[in-house]
Amino acid sequence: MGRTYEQEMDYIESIAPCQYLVKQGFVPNMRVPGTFYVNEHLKSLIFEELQAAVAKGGVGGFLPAVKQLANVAALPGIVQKSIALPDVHSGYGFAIGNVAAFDMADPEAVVSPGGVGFDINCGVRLLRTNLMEADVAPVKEQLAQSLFDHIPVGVGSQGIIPTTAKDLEAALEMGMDYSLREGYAWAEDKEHCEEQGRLLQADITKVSQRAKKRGLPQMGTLGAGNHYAEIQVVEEIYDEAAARKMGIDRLGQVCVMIHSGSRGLGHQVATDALTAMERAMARDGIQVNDRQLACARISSKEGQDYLAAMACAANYAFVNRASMTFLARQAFAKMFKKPPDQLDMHVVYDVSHNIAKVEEHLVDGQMKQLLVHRKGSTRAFPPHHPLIPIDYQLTGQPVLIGGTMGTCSYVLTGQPLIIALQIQASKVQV
Amino acid sequence: MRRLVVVGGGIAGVCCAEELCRLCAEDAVILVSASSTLKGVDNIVRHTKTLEEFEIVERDLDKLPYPNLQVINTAAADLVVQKQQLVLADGSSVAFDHLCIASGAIPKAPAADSSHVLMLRDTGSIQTLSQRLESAKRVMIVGNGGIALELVQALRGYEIVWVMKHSHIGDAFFDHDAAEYLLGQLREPEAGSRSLQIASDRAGVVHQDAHSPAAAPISNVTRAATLSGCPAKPFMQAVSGANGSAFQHAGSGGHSEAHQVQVGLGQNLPGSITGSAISSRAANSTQEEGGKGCESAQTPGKYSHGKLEELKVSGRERPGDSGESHGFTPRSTATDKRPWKWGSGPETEQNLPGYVQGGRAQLGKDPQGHHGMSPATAEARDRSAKRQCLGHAVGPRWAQSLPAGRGLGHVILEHDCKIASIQDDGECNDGDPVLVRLTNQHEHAADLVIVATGVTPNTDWLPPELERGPSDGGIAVDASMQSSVRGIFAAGDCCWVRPEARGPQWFQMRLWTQARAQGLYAAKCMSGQADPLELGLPFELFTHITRFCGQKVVLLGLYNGQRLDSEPPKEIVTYSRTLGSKGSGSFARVLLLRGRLQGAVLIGETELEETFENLILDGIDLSRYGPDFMDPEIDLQEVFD
Repeated sequence: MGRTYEQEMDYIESIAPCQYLVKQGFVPNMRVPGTFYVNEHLKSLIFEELQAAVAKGGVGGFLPAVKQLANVAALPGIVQKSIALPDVHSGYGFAIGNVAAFDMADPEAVVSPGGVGFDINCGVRLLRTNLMEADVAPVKEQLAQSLFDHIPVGVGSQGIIPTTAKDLEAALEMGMDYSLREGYAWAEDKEHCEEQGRLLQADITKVSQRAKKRGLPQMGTLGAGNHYAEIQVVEEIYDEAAARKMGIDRLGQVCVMIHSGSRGLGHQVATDALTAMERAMARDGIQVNDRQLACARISSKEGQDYLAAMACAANYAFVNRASMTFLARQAFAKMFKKPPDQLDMHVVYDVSHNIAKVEEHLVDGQMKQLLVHRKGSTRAFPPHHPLIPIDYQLTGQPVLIGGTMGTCSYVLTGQPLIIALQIQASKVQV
Repeated sequence: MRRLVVVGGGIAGVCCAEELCRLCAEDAVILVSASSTLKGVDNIVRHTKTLEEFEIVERDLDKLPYPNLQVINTAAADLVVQKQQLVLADGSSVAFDHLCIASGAIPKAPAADSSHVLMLRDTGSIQTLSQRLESAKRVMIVGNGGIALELVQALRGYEIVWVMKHSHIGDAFFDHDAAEYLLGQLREPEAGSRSLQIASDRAGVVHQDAHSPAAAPISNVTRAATLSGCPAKPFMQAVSGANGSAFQHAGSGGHSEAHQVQVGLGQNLPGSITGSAISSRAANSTQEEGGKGCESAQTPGKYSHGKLEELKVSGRERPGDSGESHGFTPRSTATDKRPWKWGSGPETEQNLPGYVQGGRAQLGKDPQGHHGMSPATAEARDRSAKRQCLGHAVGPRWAQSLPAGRGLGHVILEHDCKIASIQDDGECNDGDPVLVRLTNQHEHAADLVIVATGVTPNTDWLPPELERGPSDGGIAVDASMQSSVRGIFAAGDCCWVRPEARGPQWFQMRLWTQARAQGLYAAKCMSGQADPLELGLPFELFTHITRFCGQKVVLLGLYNGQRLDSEPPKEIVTYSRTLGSKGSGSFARVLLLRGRLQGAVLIGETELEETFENLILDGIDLSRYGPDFMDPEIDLQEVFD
């Protein structure tokens, strides 16, 4: 018989304001504890979800996020904790908002496509302008229409940015270097992108034909649903110095936020890997609590193939955001009759929230090479971190929290030990 | 310089020619069109990778901005394959290096002909319809495709007899659930604001009713027909029962089985609508006639409906389900009676006719639009189109300008039958009605019989060297749109896509969306610029978007169980949900085979199209979710992000 809700709650302990610990034993085989960060409102959602799942008897359906978090803590090679950031919610295998790091030195350690998600390198990019709300307000409709005209479609079978199969392969391999080569991006754009807009371990031979086929007609297109290109206005500034560093320091200043990913191509890369890994798990005797947590040892062929293909999908997503940046710049230039550089349309930052990367972190006082899975969660390196651009060495890495359509988005900076510190809010305008 | 010739001024032909002009600026592109008004596509909105919404516009051939395009305004009469020559109606011929045939389709003629019969197909016939309606009171509409659906909705103030060979409306497009949801939308009376008000007022009541199993309004009516007047629009009325949502069917005496109709609680139907009733005479046909009814070329091998026709838009099948509070009902269906549409066998195409789509049309913009045409021109064109076999589909929003009748509107639904005969000995004037006998022995008088029962590919003029599809005579094409003769391509309604070229979740339906995709892709293949990666691009996934009753309707994949006839029924499951109230509500239904998503119907703003497109193409196992898959509390976009 399953446990009661009260029995389940025995494993969950409040350890700090807004932080809970999920103790080992909450699900079988947990190697490390889990932890999640919530405020009062999110807390009730998490616990209600768990309660509802207990009431249903825990069979089938969508697993509650906290169970998913704990199942990830049971994966081989995980270090320290399985971490859930706000607002964590149920996903495929891994919850959305889950961060989990695996020790590269541990031969058993795994990589799992569920820890990255289907829309690989789904991310947010912020462009600034030197325009003010008052400049945009009178032409808001036309500008929105112009963005809309430019971004989703072109004429005929191709988008405005023509793409052939050759272009696609170049994009998969080179990421933003492709955009730069083709003249769709500015050299300085790269500096303000996570990984400079290109993951080097990309290997196009690891991307299936079917995945390429799914990606071909989508280059430079936005996508539906929760993806958007949005004209935003700075509404509140919390830290003037940091805001100045990013060039978004005036109330009422107009910005453009682009939220998009690798779309169908990423879906196929993830699906191909899930299928391949199910076989690898049987071969290598890897046990997981949830079939959706299909994974493979990092060092295995399946693990390496996935990381190479995932890098391609990530590059594709960078190119997508770069293409949309190009189109947004065109639309603004046309509307305000000035070249985009005179409108100061620089990339503030571009950061992914669906990706797995090898990084070095201190684990219990020891520097370790880790494979960090981030799903629905964003990297936030503190000041002086070697992997952030020179411009942001003193402020810390900009962190972009995209609102859903119609709610506020936030720009934060990474801080030591603190995941999020509010600096500035921009209010969605269009 | 190559000579690239395209035959046909419809969507496929014009899209193909335009794309060729763009792709092959060095080559000569020649478009041969019988009609001087070309169909084009405009204002494309790409919803997902494979899903595009667009408007159909009429293009003036002089206005096409391509220097390498030549338009010949003559019908094509023959093709000499060996000489690579196209023979035109005026006797001249056009030589080609590559040819794309996009000669469209022609409407199927009804079993009986009469001067009272009007076949709806192209712009000209719509004009004629407008004229004929002026003097009509009783109108029979035959057909169940897009045209018929729109027409029934659009014709106001007429007595309408709607004849269809299927058992429920919109069969070609929808399963029962979706059709019923749309019927609910049709029921909305003219006083929109008032009915909305009532609808929201009733929401709470309806919701409470839902918890009592007996509350679901079921109306088993035998031999009853309530006809009441409606001043304006013949909408389908919910008979005012306790819940106001009973839907009355008049069963036939001969059948003991009940037609159980539970109209969706989620639809929040106002109980106090006054309006015309639809009286649905259930199939009264004798067995052999019923059999005949299924024999049409369109749907051979079609599954005949189960004895119990059960329509539940929002039935409650899981007692005590805690998810009930959302007013959503995931419904699992896995029985040996397939409640979805079991459409066509593997070799059977769905010939949907000149089907009206592109609700975003802006006719007013187009001074060349057919509505501005004189009736004489229209009729002449109608005739010439038939003679030349080059008619093309009706324009967008064609139904809007139809005149309203002066009478009280109502609709009589005659399903599972066809026209048997029309008593028209030629003696009666146009003013007198004809008597139409149906295959179910019912007789109706009608001033006008409007036939919109599908099309057949217009390929009779072509030589036998071009291999044809076995079911409908369409030109057989491979994954690169090429016919059995090298260098000769075909696209749109006139072609038949070979089974080996079809993706697992694609099937052919003669729709404008497919015509456009095929036209563009044929151009790419003709130009020699198609990458192997693009092979079969238009056949990857069936997608279609249209608007019915003002609601966005998205059809994805094998949404109605098409091509799944040979699968064990117990491995096929559907879940549906209805959310919200009228106007802002939505309906979604998914179909899964062994836990893999195969297709979906989405009505209203669900924002699920891209997620479902991806999940269908992914083919990942979703069986563990069961009915929870459609839980509105779960944001599927996020889960599969």
